[in-house]
Amino acid sequence: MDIREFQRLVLEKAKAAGFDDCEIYYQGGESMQMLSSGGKIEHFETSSSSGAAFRGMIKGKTGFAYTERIDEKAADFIVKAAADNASIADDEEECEFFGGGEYEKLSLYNDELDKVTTEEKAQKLIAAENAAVGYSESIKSADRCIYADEKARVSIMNTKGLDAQYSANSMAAMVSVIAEKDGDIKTGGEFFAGNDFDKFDPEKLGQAAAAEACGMLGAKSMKSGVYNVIFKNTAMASILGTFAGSFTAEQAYKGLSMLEGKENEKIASDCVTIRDDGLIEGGFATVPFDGEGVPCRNKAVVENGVLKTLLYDLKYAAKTGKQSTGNGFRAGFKSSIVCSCTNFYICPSDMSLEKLAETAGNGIYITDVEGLHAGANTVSGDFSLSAEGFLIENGRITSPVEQITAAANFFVLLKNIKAVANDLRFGMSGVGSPAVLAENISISGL
Amino acid sequence: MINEKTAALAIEKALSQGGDFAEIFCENTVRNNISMVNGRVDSASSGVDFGAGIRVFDGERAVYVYTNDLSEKGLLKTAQTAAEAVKGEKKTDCGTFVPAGHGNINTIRIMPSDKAIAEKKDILKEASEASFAYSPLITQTRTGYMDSVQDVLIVNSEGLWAEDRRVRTRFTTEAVAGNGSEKQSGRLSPGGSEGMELFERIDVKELSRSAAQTAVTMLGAKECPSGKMTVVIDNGFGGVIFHEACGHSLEATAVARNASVFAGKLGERIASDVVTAIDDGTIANGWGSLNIDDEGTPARKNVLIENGILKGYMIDRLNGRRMGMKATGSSRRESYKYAPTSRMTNTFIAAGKSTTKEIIESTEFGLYAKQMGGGSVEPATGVFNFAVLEGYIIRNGKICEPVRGATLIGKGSEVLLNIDMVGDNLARAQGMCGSISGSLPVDVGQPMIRVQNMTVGGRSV
Repeated sequence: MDIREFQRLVLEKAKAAGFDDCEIYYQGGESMQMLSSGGKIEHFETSSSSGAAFRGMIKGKTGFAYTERIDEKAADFIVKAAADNASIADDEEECEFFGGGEYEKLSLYNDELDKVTTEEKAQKLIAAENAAVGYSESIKSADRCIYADEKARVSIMNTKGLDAQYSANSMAAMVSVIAEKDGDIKTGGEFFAGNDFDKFDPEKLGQAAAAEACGMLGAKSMKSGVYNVIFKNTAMASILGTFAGSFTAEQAYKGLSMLEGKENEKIASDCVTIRDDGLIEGGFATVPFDGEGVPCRNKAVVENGVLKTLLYDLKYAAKTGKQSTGNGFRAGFKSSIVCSCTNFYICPSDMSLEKLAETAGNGIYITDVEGLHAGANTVSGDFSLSAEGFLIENGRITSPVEQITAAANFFVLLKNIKAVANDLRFGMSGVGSPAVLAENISISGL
Repeated sequence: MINEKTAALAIEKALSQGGDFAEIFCENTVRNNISMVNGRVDSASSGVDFGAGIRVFDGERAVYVYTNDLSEKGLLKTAQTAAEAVKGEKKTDCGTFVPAGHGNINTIRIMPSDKAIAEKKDILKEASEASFAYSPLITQTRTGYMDSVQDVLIVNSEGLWAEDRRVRTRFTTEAVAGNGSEKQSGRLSPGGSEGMELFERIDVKELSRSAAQTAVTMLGAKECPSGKMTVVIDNGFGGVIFHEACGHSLEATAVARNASVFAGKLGERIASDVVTAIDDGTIANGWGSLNIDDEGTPARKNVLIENGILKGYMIDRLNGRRMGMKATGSSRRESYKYAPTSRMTNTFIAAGKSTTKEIIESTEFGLYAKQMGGGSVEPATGVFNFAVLEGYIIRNGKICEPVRGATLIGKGSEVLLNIDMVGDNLARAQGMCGSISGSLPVDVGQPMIRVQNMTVGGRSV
């Protein structure tokens, strides 16, 4: 069944079942993934999948349901299940639907990527694996070498007249390696993501993963204490991503954010500016509109330490008398709308990492943190994470350090940032950061 | 979901360009979720997951393709994609399907769909009220209900035709305590391969009071000191230590690649002699229990470690080929969107001989980790970390003041050898385990255990 035909059918059935305003969101796509091991493609996966989610207002209440079956029977199921779910809602609140608007013209689909053959993808992946294994005698194996790409199509239609679509494609490659020397085992990893296959440099990718693991060989733990810490760009991006939910109006409204009621207050040091920009060219989270059809835009969330705005979707904008900032997203078609960030990043300065290390004087350069899903309390901001990195001695990054934990509170950390570097990098989730220098981080080691 | 003729045609098609084994996994899953914040419905959703995955092996090489289109045409197109990826000479045909008989270890008394949605809402409301009633410091509650009914059909070129229905129900209660400047939370989430009879077995009010108690206790707690110390980890969800530090490294996914510290160590001592560990997919109505795994192999009770000696791994078909070993009924996947691989089911450290009283009283100084949070592990090195949700200092054989913000880190291989006491109070708790074949329901478990010389990360130096 044609998808727009299905969408129109669902809206018709919903109207007939007593729904007032309602919406049907479709997301479909194709993806492929391959893994190489020992210079051969060991695992290959492709998929085509799609699904549609319905939400609507009935007797003043909102109901939701989804389906991966796209046929008339499924249209009946989601309309009925959504009506059942609506029946237990406590809040008789308007479910907000957007009537459509002007969207930025984005080039999200690269036709050239579709022309790349499986053979060419495999060759580059194997080249990346070989580059990693050949980097040093210490590299025992490249245990996870993955190439993946996907095409996605989104179509959203509602009874207020919204009828918007976009298509996008992207690729990613990842290499992770195991290095071993004198019984000491270390891992390292690197990724490349984008939608320009020509920009994927397999040698560079493999070597970077191997260099990371080899650099950590011989790492030692260190004395517990309170240190100046530089978080590497990728490590800081992971930490920022973990607490990004606190910047949403939804978490604030629900009492789950320490930033509740802090708009226009100082929440970070002067050198911290955080932007949320759904329109960055080539960004991992770049889309013309959010999950409710509201246009995405570029905005300062924190400017020179002052919280300028939280991130709003239609629902929480309506509850607080604000406008949606285009931040209502679905984690997939099965999820309901959640206020969340797009390309969300700490703005870089013009200071090099070397200069940042000089400013730090003595301390630790943390290159990787583990355990964010367990060792971080996303409400309070407390985190205690297993970490590794390098010592900073007399303004220089020196020997590797492992088996330490770094503990702090994210909201205190924001205020303790003394400087940020110029090396902004985005993680695959769309959250980015340059390296940042922070004071007063508790390190637990020996 | 598909008939025999379609299945046979799709397998023939999948094997048409080489490969020595092909399998189709079909699924139709209906899910219902209700979540409540502060006793009011925050969201209620329902959905249908529907699709099939086709897998082809060519020696140790695997191809996996999935689709939502289960029409004969759609499935054959998917099988064709798989065949093209195998790219070789035709080697084998599809065998004749023989329906696999298997028992049912998870008897369901009350199907979730037999209860009205309003009744489920009332349970959550009651739970929320119990948390709020526990203390005025409780500022928020989050309660949740979920059920899923997964119908699967697994067929393969060796003639396997296996069908199963997996019913699961779970309840979650979480309480947040706040005093203006800080917030702490407590959470419990029991469930099983069972229906609405879950709510006859558990007391949602008592569980909600208990979650509230954790949150309130931690609110007043001091920062945990850091450094190496003796750690006593309580029973139940404390078993996450074994799950993370050892379980993942005993999955064939890690072992077959030689990416596990326990690879090649069968028959060797890997833990102190008080440690016996088991992965048992056959516990009646267990959260991680299965009649058959996602390759159609009947679930089993697998002894992993016996008195400190490594006895076995958890093995799926593909990694079994790589390792030259038989599958152990451990192959699992979140849905048809994932190729299955070796995963845990209900994994626990078996009961020992010490009483909890003996363990605490014989500890001069250390951390008592009463409630554990989740964690993660790097299988290659066995380095793990996990959070302590509710912890106390043990001083002179007595449990003293509560401490917060503690993280336990270490290497699985070292911790196993450093367990010096195992209690007699085995209990299991439910969790969701994320790994390469998706997020799966698993039980973790253990009696109270004591670990010497563990690294504790906290904010107080």
